[in-house]
Amino acid sequence: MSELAAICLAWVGMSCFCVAMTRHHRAVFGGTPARRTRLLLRVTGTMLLALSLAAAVSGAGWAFGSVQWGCAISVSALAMVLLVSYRPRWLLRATAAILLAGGLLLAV
Amino acid sequence: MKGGFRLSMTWLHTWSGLIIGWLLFAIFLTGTAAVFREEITIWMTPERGFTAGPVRAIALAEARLASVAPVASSWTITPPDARHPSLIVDWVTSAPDGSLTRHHEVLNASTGKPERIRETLGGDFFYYFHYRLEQPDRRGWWISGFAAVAMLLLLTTGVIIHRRFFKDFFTFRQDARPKRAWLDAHTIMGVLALPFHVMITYTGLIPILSTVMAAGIIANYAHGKSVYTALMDYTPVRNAFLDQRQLRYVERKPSGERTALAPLGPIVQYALERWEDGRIGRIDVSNPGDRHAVIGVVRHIGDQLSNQPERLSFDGTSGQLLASVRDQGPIVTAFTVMYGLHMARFADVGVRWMYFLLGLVSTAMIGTGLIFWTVKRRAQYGAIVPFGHLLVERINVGIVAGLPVAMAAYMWANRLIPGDLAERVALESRAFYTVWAVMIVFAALRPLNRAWTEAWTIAAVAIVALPVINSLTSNRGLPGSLGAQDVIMASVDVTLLGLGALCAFGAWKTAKHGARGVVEGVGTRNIVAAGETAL
Amino acid sequence: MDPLKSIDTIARQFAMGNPLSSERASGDRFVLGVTSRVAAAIFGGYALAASSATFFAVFLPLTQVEATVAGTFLAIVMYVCAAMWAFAARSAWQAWLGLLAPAAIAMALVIISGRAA
Repeated sequence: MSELAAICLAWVGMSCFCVAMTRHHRAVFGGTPARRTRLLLRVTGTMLLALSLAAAVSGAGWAFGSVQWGCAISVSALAMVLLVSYRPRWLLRATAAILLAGGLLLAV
Repeated sequence: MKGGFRLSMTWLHTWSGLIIGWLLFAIFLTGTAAVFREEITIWMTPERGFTAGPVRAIALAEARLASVAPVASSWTITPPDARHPSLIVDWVTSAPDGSLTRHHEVLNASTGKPERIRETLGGDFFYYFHYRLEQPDRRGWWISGFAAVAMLLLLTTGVIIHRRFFKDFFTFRQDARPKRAWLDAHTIMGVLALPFHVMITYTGLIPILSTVMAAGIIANYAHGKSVYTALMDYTPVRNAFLDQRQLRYVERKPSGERTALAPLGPIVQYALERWEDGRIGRIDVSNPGDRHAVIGVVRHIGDQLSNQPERLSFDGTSGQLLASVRDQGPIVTAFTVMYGLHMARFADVGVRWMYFLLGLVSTAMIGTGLIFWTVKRRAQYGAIVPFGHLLVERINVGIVAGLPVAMAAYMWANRLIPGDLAERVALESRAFYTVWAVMIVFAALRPLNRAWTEAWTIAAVAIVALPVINSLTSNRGLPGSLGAQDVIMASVDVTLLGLGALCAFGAWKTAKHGARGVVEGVGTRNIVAAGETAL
Repeated sequence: MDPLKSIDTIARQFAMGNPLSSERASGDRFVLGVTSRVAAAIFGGYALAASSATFFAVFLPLTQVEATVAGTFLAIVMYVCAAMWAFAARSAWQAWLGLLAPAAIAMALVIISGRAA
């Protein structure tokens, strides 16, 4: 289930990019992020998206893996928008839940 | 100049969006449904049996073909897989006068006996509509091809005019005024799924490219004919091109000597071993029973991205490997891979669901664009709205909410029309078009805000009723199918419930917001007034 | 410019009849100009796309089948660019010229080279 690992990692990566933006950071955490924080979040987000690609490719090969990753980043980004627009305060809880569920399913 | 360019592109995006938008919405929605066309076909033929393993199934198919077509010019066996549980055999017989007759049978994969299945296009109806638009010959290809180029134009101009591409990446102001909210929805869906939109649209042109862009092919493959001749009689030119582009396999003429066909079992074993993780896609036999028989084993299309899987050819008498296909150059490989990306036959369950979701997002992007077009322009009209605008608002309802109703009606017709009625295929198709036309007329006659709510309610009811009808007209309905691990049937029913719920949500939202959501007058007074008068 | 505001400007200008640089003032000239550009985008665009497909199929330094397929890929891109040009050009005349001239040159080169079958 490399798609699962790819989506989970992509979700966390996307959430980093999302809270790196002042507007969404305020909605989720309440405060304005410092420039260093924003840069750190963006770097982390990039690494997580790269890890997401690696997970997909290691599970399904380059061809299928790239397609899975391409779909996964769009799907996770769209889910992110819904969450951040309607229930921004739930972002941390949602991320924890996704990591937990993903980890369990992968272990099984 | 910069401002001028962006302005021109805005004008271009806005107006081509309106003109092609309705067609694109239909193409994208039916295309999204076509992602699961095999599953829809299974839902629409509940009398089909379940599945057994492929090797045993191939033996059953061989037995059936040997009994029903011992003398034929070719046999084709398609073993069952996760997405289609039936075993399919095709054979071609030639009459003394040289005419060919094709035969097709669906066998039960466990018993090898022919199944009596109702005649229906199944999910393929949506697939055909998606690229042929119910046109004869290849005329539909030109229309959908033109729509695809227009879609690429819309995507390109959309990106050009969207100034805050990264700043507004995750921004959806759902509680802002309707103009802002609809535009945000439209751009968010466009931006976040942009790779998918571009990929699916560009690759959508690939299958029809040699027909709609014949110029280069004629230049290189007309072999001395004049351009006019090549255009009028394009088929041989195209075939010359396809011969070079496609994989060659061994062809032989029948010798006339009858010999036994080599058993398929060991040949299939050899192929499976050679392909390690691979699966059998199809077996075809030319001249079965003749000394010059050739057995072709084609790898399963789901094993690679490319649309042209590897093919092994074996001598039909001795079972010896004759040829496996040569490599193609990088650009032709790119062609077959792009073809494969659009057809998504390679997709496993996870990727298939993501294609479906992203397809719905593409469709919704087009739909929200159409709605935004009307919401935005309403603002400048005050109390007297031009007829053209009123027409656009209503056609939007008839298409965006009406098409789902029509698609549900098609599946309703499948269950309500008796299984052995001769013209049922035509009747199912007629149900689709009639209901769609009715929805468009209905939308035109109702006040706008009520039209949306009512249309979405009808869609919700029509779609949610489908699993109910399934339980009433077959023995593979919902609670039972979950227990019997009838995965495909259960999944289709559950998905239909989910889609129906989505439509119900749309109905609720439009009812709640009333006139405010889709009609924006100059002031609140005008909104209420406009909502009650000539909508 | 905020996209909502640009659409506002367009709408107002459309109501006055001249969103595009050279189609000014009168309603008739505007309709003629726009119709001409639309025709240029659709038909002139196809001409440019088809002539590029031919040009690349004949001149790309690849095997025949590879060059032909590459030509068709590029033709799609050319069609989209042509449509944008038809509306970004300063006038409808420029729109047509910018599409038909390169198409004609490409075809002329193909014919002169004698490489076409």
